[in-house]
Amino acid sequence: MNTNKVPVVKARSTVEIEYKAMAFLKLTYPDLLKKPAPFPGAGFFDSGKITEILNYDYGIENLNDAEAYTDFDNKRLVLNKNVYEGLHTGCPRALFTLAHEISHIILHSNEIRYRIFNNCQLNKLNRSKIITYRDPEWQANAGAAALLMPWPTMLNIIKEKKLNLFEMATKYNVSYTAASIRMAKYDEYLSKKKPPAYFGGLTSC
Amino acid sequence: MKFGSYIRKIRENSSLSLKEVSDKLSWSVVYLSDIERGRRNPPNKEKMKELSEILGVPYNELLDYANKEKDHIELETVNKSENVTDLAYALARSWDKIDDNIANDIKKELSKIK
Repeated sequence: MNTNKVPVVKARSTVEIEYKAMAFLKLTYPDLLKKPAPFPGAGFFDSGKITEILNYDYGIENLNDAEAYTDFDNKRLVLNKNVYEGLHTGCPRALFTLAHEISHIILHSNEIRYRIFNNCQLNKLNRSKIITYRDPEWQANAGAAALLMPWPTMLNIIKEKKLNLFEMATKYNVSYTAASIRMAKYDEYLSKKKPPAYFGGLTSC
Repeated sequence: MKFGSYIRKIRENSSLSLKEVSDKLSWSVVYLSDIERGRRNPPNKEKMKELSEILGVPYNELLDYANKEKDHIELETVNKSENVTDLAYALARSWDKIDDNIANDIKKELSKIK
């Protein structure tokens, strides 16, 4: 398997990804849409919610060259042992990895499985050759950020200007980098003076 | 339901994590995950007893699921009399010839055991 190449997926906007992530949180942990708190990664993984809600099998393996993988064909999400242990010690990177894989399932499962079952060729390319918004890894990263730092709670933080980036990262149990990228996204919209529709459409609880 | 799926269901319903169960059994979390996913055979009887205690399920129930998966049954003859051991051998020798009628007769006799 050439791990450098990924299938080109349907174009998805950040708005669409945000909404998918929020719909998932509404179903699993609705309180996370009201108050900034860490996504309970270990609890989610161990409780079988992956099977109950996403209809995917889950497991832990000793993976040599990957932190995790999602097998769309066999509907399976697998974490490297270190990542699983990281979830239990509250490691932000482990949590982001899980959120990234969950996002793959939320965003790409139906699309990829449809293509597999219809014997369609998966157009795999190096990521550098794929337009950002059709790159499944970019989409899964955006999805992970949306799951871990939901916009409705971000709006409160921004509005009240209570937290700096370090505090924000701690509050959501994400890395400083993840928090700053998320905040930069908001700033980017502000600089364009064209915030996406969901900024106004969402209630800041 | 297979053995692995059964213990996964019990563990999830008991709100136990893979880590908690594997730590208590001194197993690798990968090994427990593999058993739950049916990638490995059920554990030996000693470990099965420990597992049944941790999960709070009867040992015999776990054993039944494990035996169904193996497609064969093992009988322990340690500490059994010669007569009882002979019965196990006789059953094994006649296994191919046992039909539903004979099975019903034997089950009728076994049902007398309290």
